[in-house]
Amino acid sequence: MERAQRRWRKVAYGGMQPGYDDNHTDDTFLQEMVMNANVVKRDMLKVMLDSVSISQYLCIVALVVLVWTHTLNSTITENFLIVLDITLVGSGFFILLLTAKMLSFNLLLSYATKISFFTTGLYVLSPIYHTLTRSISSDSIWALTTFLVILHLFLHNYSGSTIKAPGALENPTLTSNISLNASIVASLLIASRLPSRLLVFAIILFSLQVFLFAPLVTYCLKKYSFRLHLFVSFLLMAMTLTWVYRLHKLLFVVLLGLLVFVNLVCPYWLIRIQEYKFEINGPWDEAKLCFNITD
Amino acid sequence: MKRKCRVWWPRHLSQPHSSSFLFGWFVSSSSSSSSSSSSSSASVPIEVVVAFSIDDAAFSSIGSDLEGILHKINKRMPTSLQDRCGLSMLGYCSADASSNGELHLDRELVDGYRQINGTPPNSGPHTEQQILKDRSGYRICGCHNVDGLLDQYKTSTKSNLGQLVYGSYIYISRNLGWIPKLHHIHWDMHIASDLDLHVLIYGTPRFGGHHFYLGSQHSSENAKTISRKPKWVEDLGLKKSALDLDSVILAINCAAAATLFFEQQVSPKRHALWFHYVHMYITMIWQLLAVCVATVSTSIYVVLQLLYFLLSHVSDSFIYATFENLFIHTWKNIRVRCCQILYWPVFLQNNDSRSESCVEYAEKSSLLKHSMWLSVVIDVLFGNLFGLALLTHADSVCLSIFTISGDITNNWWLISCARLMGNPAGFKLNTELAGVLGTLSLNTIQIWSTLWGSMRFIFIFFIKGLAISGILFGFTTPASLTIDLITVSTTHVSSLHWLISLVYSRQIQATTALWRLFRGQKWNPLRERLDSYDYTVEQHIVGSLLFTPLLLLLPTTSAFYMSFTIINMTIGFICMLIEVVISVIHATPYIKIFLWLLWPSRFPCGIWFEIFPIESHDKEVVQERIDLETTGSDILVSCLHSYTYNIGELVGPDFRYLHSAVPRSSISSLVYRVFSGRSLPSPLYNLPFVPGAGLPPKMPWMSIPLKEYWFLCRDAVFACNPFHSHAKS
Repeated sequence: MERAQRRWRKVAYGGMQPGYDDNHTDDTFLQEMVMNANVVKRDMLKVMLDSVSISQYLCIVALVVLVWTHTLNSTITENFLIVLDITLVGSGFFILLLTAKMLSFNLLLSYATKISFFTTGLYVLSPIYHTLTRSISSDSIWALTTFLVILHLFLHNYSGSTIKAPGALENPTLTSNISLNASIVASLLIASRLPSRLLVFAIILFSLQVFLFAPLVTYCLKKYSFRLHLFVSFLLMAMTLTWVYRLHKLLFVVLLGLLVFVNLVCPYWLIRIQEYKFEINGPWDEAKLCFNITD
Repeated sequence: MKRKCRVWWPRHLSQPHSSSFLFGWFVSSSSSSSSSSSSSSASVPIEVVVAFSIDDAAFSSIGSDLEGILHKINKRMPTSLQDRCGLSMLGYCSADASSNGELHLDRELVDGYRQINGTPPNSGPHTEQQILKDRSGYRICGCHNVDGLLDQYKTSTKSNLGQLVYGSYIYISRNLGWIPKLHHIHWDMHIASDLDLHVLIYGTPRFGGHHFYLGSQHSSENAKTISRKPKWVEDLGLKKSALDLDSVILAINCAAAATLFFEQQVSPKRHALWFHYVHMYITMIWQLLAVCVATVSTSIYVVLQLLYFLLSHVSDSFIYATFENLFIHTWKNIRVRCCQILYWPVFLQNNDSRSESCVEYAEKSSLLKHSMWLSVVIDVLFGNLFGLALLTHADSVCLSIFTISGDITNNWWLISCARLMGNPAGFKLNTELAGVLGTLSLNTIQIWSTLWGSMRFIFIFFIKGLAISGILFGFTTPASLTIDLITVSTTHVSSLHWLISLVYSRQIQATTALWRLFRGQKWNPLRERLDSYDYTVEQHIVGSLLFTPLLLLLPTTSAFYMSFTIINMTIGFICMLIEVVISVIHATPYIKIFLWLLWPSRFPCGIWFEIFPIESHDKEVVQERIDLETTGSDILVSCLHSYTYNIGELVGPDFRYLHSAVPRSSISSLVYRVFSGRSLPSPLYNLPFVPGAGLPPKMPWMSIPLKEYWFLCRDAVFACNPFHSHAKS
């Protein structure tokens, strides 16, 4: 009987093949299946080292919140803040100059003009921000700010930076836009609680500098040298923990717990559940178009 | 095969009288006139509308003039009736010998016929020739020449006698009287004697009495203006009804006029001497009245022309333009009033000789004629009442207006502004912005009320001037002056409202645009849709830096906006109420209401038939005797009555414009416009015409010479003379 039959062919046309069922499969079934093709093999140490950048950003945000708290408590004066702003700008530029490869004088000039416009605009708008939320009670402001900061951390794009290094290709996604918005609005809300206009200007400038440029600076640093990046991260973590400890014990415990969770628990967890990953790909998948072809 | 025949019989012919020739109209629907076979036209009823009758003596005295007279009368009928059918001689109806309606037949004649032809006369439906005799001994037959009279008629007319009916009078009952029972009909070379007869008795319509009107399904008056369907859809809906009563009702309405014209042609009436004297006396009085009215009207005309001449010289100046823009309602009202004053004799004089014949058209044209001057008179009447009342109470009105406005301004509005600058009702108002807006509005109110307070002493003259204008020009003029004065005196409210709505709407638009920016979309005003938009990070930052203050300052602006909008809308609502009152005064059809109250039968809206059962016992008796009688022809007798309108249906069509001025969907769009800060139009003000004043939008100014105008007025008033129509012909 088998010899009389023709061999079964896997074709999409031609109708019923005589002698075989309509749902007949032969031994080449699922031969082309590929399992876990896109899964990256992870190493515990590598994952822990990569999670350091997340905790670094956490510490930066915590430092900003610290500065806010101290300014609201009038521990920090406005002159200190202005000095801090200028220092940050300077050091940021310095690091960029050291680490970036494709910097030119035109680019630097454009950056400088943008920053000067920005600063002037902020200075003009600061009286408006000064009285913006005076009629809203403080509790609402704290609650809203906390919510916005958490939203910002949650939706932040940890893999790249919002302000692109020159030559970057990705468009900002919706979540990174929302996180940026949340951070700006949070800083504006906090600024509107402050007693004087100069303080308002200084704190907004400070917050925006950090939120906009810190990812770029750390990105450039990381690309330049991994060891430097690790060193700076640990330094930041130590500084943050110290100052938070001096401010409030409970918050210190929370921050410590968070850092431990991000750096130690999460990588272990990821590795643990990695072995359960089971991805199936095959010729039945939809074709994916590749646009990101760079020369 | 039986043919249906409907005879419309006027009630005044139901008295017993001698045999007579009937005159009227044969109304046939168009399908039967085109077909020639009897079978297809048998189902269509023949409508015979009888207008009047003349007896044999009168008929013989007319002689050969008959066709000319009928032709003259036909030319005076309305064109739609002339197109369909013409007044003609219908036939002959003989009076019966016996009083209970039995038919008497002369035995001799029947025998004679038998001798001649050898067969009984009753041989078949289509070739039947009835020989019947009446009391006077005339032979009446369809095919034979009647004894000289019909001969004369046939020879005098050049046309073919296409249709003739023959019948005799039957007494039905005491209240119904005598009706004709048709024996046979000559119709287009056929003789139909097997007839299903339906006699409809109607009371002849007269002008000032009743008339008949078919009702809304045939009229095109209502609801065609608002319909937005294309014409062919409406034509599909107008099915050709099998019952073509239009022409019949038109003919009935013209019956009285036809009778009158005939009598005038045949025998002009000679009145008694006393009638002449009364006629002359009344005519003199009317002439006097006409001359007085014409003189008064011409003097007003002179004044108006002078004013127009003066105004036309200053019309280019700037002051004139500002005046016209400020006092819009007054300007419109003055224009309407002037047009009404100028054109009332033109409307009154509008006598169409054709409309004399049909009672329905005459009634409608009289309504149109008298509408304009009556509306002016009633308006002036209301204005006199209002003006006199206002004059007597001028001081107290002045005082109360001052107290009310002072009260509103000081106690309510100023305080609300001051409170807004605080933190009322838990609103999260920004103090600085609220302070700015509040100070601005407070200063404006203070300045304006100081200005108006300084005009306090001449306010009393305003009130008196308003009252006098009411007395002279009617109620609508002071009403529109009031609207304009209110608008002018609350300019500060409207300008503040405009300013704050500008700020509010811009803020709303900016906030929504920035919100769309964060979602990555942009509004495309050309295509009116949202497009996706790639923006740079700088735009994003600047956008979010601006978004926060705009959003947080919105409650402050909206609080001020809402309070100003409430005040503005209240004022606008009051003005709109007055506008509605003015337009209702203009639109009410006073003449219709007045006539409806006195004579409601002049406004028919439909017809109905009252059916009377009659016994046909006499037929069987006849059957026993001779079977000459056509077997089984039944008579149905009905009476035509009409429904009249009730007051709601009467004035309903005139107020339909109110529906179109305030459409349903405007409530939701109004709310949307308020919340988005756009301006609110006043609906009635934007109507392109003054509804109901009976005037098209731009009537040209009349500039005929004085003498002609005087004659026009006098002739128009004199034409309303009740004896005028007698005198004319």
